[in-house]
Amino acid sequence: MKFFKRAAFSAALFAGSMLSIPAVAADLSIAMDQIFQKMDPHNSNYNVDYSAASGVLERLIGFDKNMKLVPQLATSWEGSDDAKTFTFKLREGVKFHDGTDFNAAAVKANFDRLADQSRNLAKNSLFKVVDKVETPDDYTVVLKLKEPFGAMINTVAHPSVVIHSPKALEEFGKDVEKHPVGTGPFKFKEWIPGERLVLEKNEDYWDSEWPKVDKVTFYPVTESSTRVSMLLSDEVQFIHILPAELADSVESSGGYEVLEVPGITVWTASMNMLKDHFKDERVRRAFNLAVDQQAFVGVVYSGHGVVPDSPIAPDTRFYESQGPLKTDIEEARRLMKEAGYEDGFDIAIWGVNNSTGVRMLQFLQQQLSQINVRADIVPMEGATRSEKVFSSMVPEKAEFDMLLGGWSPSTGDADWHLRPVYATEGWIPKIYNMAFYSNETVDEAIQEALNTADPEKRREAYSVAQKQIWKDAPVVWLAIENKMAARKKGLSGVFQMPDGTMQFTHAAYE
Amino acid sequence: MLQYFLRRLAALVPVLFLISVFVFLFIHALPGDPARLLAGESATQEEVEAIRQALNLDRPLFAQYVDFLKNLASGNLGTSLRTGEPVSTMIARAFMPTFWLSVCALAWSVLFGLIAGVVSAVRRGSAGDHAGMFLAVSGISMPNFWLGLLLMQFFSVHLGWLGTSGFDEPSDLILPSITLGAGVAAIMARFTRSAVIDVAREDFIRTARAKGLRERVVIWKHALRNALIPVVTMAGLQFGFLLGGSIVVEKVFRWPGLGSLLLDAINFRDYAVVQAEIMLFSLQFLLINLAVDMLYGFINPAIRYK
Amino acid sequence: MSLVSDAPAAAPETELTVRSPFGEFRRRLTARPGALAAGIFLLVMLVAALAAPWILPFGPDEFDYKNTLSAPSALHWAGTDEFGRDIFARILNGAKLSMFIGFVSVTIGTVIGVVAGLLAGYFGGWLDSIVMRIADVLFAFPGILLAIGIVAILGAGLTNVIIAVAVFSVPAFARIVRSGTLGLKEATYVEAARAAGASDFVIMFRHILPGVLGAVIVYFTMRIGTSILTATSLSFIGLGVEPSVAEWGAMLSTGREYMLAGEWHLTFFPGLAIFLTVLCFNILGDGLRDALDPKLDDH
Repeated sequence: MKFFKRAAFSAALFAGSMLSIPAVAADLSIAMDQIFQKMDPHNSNYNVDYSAASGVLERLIGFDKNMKLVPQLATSWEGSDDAKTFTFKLREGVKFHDGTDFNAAAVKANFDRLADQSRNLAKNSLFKVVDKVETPDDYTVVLKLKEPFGAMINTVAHPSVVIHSPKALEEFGKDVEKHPVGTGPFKFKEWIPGERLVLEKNEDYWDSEWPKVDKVTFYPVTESSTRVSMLLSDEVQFIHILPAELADSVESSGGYEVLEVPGITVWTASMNMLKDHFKDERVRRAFNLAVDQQAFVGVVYSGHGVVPDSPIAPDTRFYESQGPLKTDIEEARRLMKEAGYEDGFDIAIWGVNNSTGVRMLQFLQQQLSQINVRADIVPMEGATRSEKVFSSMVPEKAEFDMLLGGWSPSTGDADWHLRPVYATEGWIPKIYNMAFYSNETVDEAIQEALNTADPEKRREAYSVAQKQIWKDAPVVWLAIENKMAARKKGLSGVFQMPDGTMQFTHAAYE
Repeated sequence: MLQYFLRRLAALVPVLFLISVFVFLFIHALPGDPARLLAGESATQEEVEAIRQALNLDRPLFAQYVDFLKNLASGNLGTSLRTGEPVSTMIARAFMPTFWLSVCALAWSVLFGLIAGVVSAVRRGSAGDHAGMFLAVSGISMPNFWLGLLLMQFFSVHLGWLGTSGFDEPSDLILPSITLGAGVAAIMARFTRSAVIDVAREDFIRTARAKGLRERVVIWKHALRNALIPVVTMAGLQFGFLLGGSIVVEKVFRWPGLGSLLLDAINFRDYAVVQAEIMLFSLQFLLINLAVDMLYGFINPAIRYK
Repeated sequence: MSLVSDAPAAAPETELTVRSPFGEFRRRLTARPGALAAGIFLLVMLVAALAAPWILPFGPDEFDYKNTLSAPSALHWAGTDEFGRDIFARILNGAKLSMFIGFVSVTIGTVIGVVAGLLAGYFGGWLDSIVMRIADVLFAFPGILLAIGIVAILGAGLTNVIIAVAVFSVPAFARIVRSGTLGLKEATYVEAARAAGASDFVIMFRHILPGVLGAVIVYFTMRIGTSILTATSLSFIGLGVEPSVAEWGAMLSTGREYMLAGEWHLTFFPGLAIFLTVLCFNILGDGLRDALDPKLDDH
């Protein structure tokens, strides 16, 4: 009896409509899916850090909604034909929050900091090619590189390449990560790690039209249903990320809208090509044919994603479609038979232990069982994965057969996808080539594209690389997840980006 | 008595030392590379090495342990690898939310447990007894996080009466303390019931009844007071457990307490924070144990300390 | 001399006028219908779980992507999950696993705890100090953290989850048995056995152990419930058994993502299964305690 009542109670609870009380405030609250690490993007690899810091610290060049370059603190820029000299014209009349003037010297201080290897900053790698930073006049900065690097403009637009106040850099030293001072529309107010981060309006922002909210509070909320509950009970007005499986219920609850943009993160199951069975191209193709990517998107992302048709995502610069992925179990079985594996074999697939990761693993296990491959799936806790995959990995001794991972090129450029994931220099643990794939044509094309700043020449080289990789199929391509977020209706100017960061500087209520 | 107390206090030192060795070995045995975790999955190996050097993680293990003990002896808990903050600051900040949550959970659950336990004991075998005990057993049979999520869905999202999570105002204590206290209430109710039944069989209760005292007086005044000793002990132990912070409940309700701090620290292999927190829990637990033992002596002087 | 010929002769058909301890125990237990019902429920579930492959139309791992997240119906009694797998079939199959985890882990914990407690209580001295200090350390160490650590060090998976949960139970059993042993070792019948020249081993396991067994059995039963819940918590943090295996905790934990989406059946049924099972073990434990405690006679 008691149990029936309980059942009825639960049913009523979840089926019931979710009414809401409208919030009126010029304040903005945002729930993020991860905890903040450092308010110094120069020394962070985390999208949550980049996102929150972007309100305080601006870059020379930013990205718009579609990852196209837009001016921020630079008004124009150009690269030399040999891809070794890049010139930036700076915005005039801008001041940092502490009153310091923004000028070429300030930019040089930041670029020099990034390029200084002895500081051990996390993003030093982006500026390793930089030879010297010159300032011919107060509002011009010239980057001279040691070697040609065609992707430099996009590198300067990377969300970590922000401009701190040179005075703050001097005053706080490494502690600037707790006291960010920039030129942005918001000033840093307070940060209680693990709990909240508060920014307040910068009254003297250079663009007098903005900002339109007085205060922005970020909450790190790792439990995704708690995050959605906070939105639905109007404790926050924006959540990043919205779990795909909850999109429909947020949409239908009225008063909230789901924001969905195509992502640039390509999820793959890399096949360890140092293992005998994956040296055979027929086996790799069979695996790709056995996995139904359309169903994958449906099951894992509740339909909120697309099936890849190239090693890189359509919104990544220099993308070229390689034709659709097919699913054909019969053909897959035939290829397996031809390769001598009619009865399949046993493999271990490593993944991550969050809920999406666990769904991916189970899905793969189910699909591969159709070609008699028996998969042992191993979801790994983040810390364990950090050691087993990225620290103590010796390629020849790798215990995994397949490894799940997703790569997002944070520069928005083909180089920072193809090179880490498919070039020989990217073999884990060095970067992210988890298939131990190595192909001369690909390596050469990637290098060739870096030797020039001419977009047409680069496009040609990347076309060659994409074709070759697609043919060799070192990975099972799975999906490009849509980036999902949700916000209260009436709020505008807050949205997520294809690279996994978010923007809120133009936040406004109707 | 004082001598006994001091001797017991001194006996804590070897236990704490054992715990420190255990904790240190334990967390360093966990697979995981803090430098890589801080750098993130998309970092290159160079980026990771840069962080490793910046954090001094390349020192030998024994040297790290000696440092840890030295610091501990001088009251310095070290700095967090992840945030660079002093660990003592982080723990001090997380302590109060967990303390208030524990107090609230304990308060309602002891009150409920006492009443339900006594009523059940008095009306032993009645429908009320069965219902009360059924409720109590239900309390320890529910997965914590499920109960928490159900409460949050209903009271915060559906009805909109309470905040979903976090700790900004006193009303935020309600849902997490109910979730956390459900188990304690159940334990208290069952424990009280059996303690009262035990006491009710004692001679002095029979005497009291024989004197013609009213049943209510006999139970609430005589029986309960004597049953209180084991009940207080139990409440003390439960408080010790609660103060450790519940990882699960704090995660569900985004509670800025010791449990959340510990989970984050474990996830990022933030060694200094994990070490300090476990040492604190152990000390807390051992001290409460000691206090409870001493309390026995005060409540019941018949107990002799050898 | 054959074994067969001896057997029937050994059973004299006399009426018992005095109840054996077991008979007394059975009388006391049947006087508690709640405990009996709980025991029967658990038994029925176990039998159904073992028979599941023959009585259910679906296997626990049969996926159907065209039929995901469907609500409970006549065909799928508890609906389907995100892979279109039948939740009822998974729950029934999961019963085996959850009970197995609970039973095996507590058994391991009991055996270690009982032996440690017996030795500590019987021999006393430095052995006692060491065992009890270790128990103190284990007690003071947050249990779930210990489990997280063990699973992180050894890797996730069924065996390691069992070990992690087993470690949980050791100190409590050690304490219970030690205090029982302390009392019993001075008892007259133990003294008598010692005077008769029985070895320490015989005294401990033949004479003292049966005396503390009652308390151990009661605690054992209740502990199974706790262990099932601990395994559930491990799954919640993402450190449970292999995720494709039908385990209640994992089902509840992955299903919670769909809770807000109105797909209540994903969490409700596994939650209910856990709740009922743990509840039954606890009620059974209560009943056993009352039945084994001579002080508590309602009649």
